[in-house]
Amino acid sequence: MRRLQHFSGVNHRTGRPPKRTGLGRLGRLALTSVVAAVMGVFLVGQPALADGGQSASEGYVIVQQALSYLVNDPGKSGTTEALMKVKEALAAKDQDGVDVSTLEEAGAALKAGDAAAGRTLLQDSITEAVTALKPAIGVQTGTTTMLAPLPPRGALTPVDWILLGLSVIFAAIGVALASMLRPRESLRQLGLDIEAADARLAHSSPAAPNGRN
Amino acid sequence: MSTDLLDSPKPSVAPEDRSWIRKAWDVIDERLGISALAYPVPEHANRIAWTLGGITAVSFVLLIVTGIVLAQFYAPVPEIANQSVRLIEGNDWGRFFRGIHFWASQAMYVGALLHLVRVFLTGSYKKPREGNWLIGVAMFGLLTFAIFTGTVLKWDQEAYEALGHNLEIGNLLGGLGFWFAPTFSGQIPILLRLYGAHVVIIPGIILVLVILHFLLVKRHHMSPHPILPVGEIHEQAAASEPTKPFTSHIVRLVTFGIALTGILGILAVLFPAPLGSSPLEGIEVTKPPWMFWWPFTLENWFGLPAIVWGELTFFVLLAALPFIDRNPNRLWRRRPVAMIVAAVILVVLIVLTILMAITPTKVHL
Repeated sequence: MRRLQHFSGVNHRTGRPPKRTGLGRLGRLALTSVVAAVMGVFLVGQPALADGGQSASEGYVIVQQALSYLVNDPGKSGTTEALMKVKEALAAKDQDGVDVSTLEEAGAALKAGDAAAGRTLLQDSITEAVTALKPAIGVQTGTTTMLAPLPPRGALTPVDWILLGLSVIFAAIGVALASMLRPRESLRQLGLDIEAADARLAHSSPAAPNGRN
Repeated sequence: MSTDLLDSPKPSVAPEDRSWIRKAWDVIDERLGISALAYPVPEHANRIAWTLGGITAVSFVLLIVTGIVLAQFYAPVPEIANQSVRLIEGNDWGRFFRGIHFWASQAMYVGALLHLVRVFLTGSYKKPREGNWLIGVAMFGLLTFAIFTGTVLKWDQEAYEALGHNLEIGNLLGGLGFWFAPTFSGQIPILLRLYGAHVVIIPGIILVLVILHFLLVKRHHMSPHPILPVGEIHEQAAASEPTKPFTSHIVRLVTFGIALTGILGILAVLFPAPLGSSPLEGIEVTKPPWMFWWPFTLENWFGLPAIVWGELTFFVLLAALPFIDRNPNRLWRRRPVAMIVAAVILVVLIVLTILMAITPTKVHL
C-alpha cells in the first residue's frame, strides 16, 4: 500500500514551493485601498451630534422622559429619576403645550409614592403638546402616549397549546428523520475506506495517489 | 419530493412501462432540469457540521415566510409602529409568527456564526474558495445589519437607542454615513427607510449572494475534510471518497429544517418576542441585542468611535483572512498561528460580551 503524502505546501511533482499567485497581491492591494478609503472618510467625518432630531430640552419631551423612566423601571429608582425629570420640566424654558399645574400635581403624587397617579397626571399634563404634533419625519419618534413594555406572557391560550403541540411534533419528526438519515460511517471509518479504495486503485494502476491536508 | 426520482438515473424500462408518476416527473424535469441538482457531493459533507450553512439558509427561508405574514399587519409609521406590533402580539397567531421571526433571526445569526467557524477550522476558505469566503463575510455583515434594522422596526425604546447609536456612527463616518444622516431624505421618517432596507434591500442582496454562494460551492465542489485523504488536486476531496447526490444533502437539510421549525415554534410560544416602551429621545435605559454587546463594551470604555473601529477591525480581519493566511494546510493542528490568533479574538469577543451582560446601562449619547 502506498503511503499517503502529507501536504506541506510543496509541489509534489516539481519539488518547488507553490508560486505566489496574483490573487494574493490583488488581495493586499484591495485591502490597502479599502483601509485608505475608510481613513479618508474618517478624515472628512463630521463631529457627532447628540441631538436625535427633536429637541430633548422641550418641556413636553422632558415630561415624556419622566414617563419613560416610570414605565421602564417601576421601582423606587424609576420614580426618583422621573421626579428629577419633573423638576427639570418645571424649570425648562420651553413649556409650550405643558399644563404646569397638572405637572406639579404629578410631581406631588410621585413624591407621595403614587406612581400610577403620577403617570396619569404626567400624560395629562402634555395633552395639548402632543395633540399639536405634526406627523413625524426624519428621526422624530412620533410618540404621543407613553406605552409601557409588554408584560411577560401569561397562561397559554388554547391556540397556544395547539401551536405548542404542533411545534413539539415538528421538532420530534425532524430530529427522528435527521437521525434516521444520518451517515452510518464515522469519519474515521470513512477515512479508512478511502485509503483502502486508494490502495486497491494503486495496486491495479500506478496512477498518482491521494494526499492529505 | 421523492429523492428516488431525483437521484436515480433514467430507468431502463421501456417508456410505456413507466409509472405515471415517473412519466410526470420526466415531463417536468425535461423542462426545468431539476435533476441537475443531483450532482455528486462527497460523503463527509452530509455531517451536521457541513450542513450549518444550509441550516442558516433554512432560517432565512423561515424569516422570509414569517416576515411576509408580519408585513401584512405592521405599520412602518412612527406614530403607530409600536402600537401595530402590540396588535400583532395581541393575537395568538400574530404572537406566534412574530416569535418565530424573532427566534429565526437568532438561529440564522448563530447558524451563520457556527458555519463561519466551521469553514475557518477546516480551512475551507483557502484557494480556490477565497471569493466564496468573501461572499459569506458580506452576507454575515448584511445579516448583522438586518438584525439591527429589525430591532429598530419594533420602534420601542431599545429600537430608538439602537437607532440613536447608528445615527451617531453615521455622523462619525462622514460621507459613508450619509444614509443615516437626518438631513438625507429628511421629509421621510427614517423608520420607513429602514423598513424598506429590512424587507427589500437587505434580503434582496442576501438572496443574490446566497445564489452566488451556492453556485460557487457547486463550481468549486465541497471542500475536502482536513482529516480525510484529499484528491490529487489538494483542494478537492479524494476521487475515491464515496459520494451522494446533492438532492440527498437537501433532503437531510429539510429534516434539519423541520426540527428547527419545531424548536423555533416551541420557543415562540413559551418565550414570545419582547417589546419595550414607546420610543423617546434623550434617555438610555436599555441594552442592545446580544450580538451587539461586545462593541458596546468597547463603547463604555473608549466612547462611541470604538464601536466603529471594533466592528471595522472584525470585518476587515474576516475579509482579509484568506489573503493573510497563506498556509496551505487545512488541518487545524498544522495551522498554529491562525488558530492562536482566532482563539485570542474569540476569547476577547466572549469576555467583552459577558462584561456587557453584567454592566448596568449607561448614557452614551
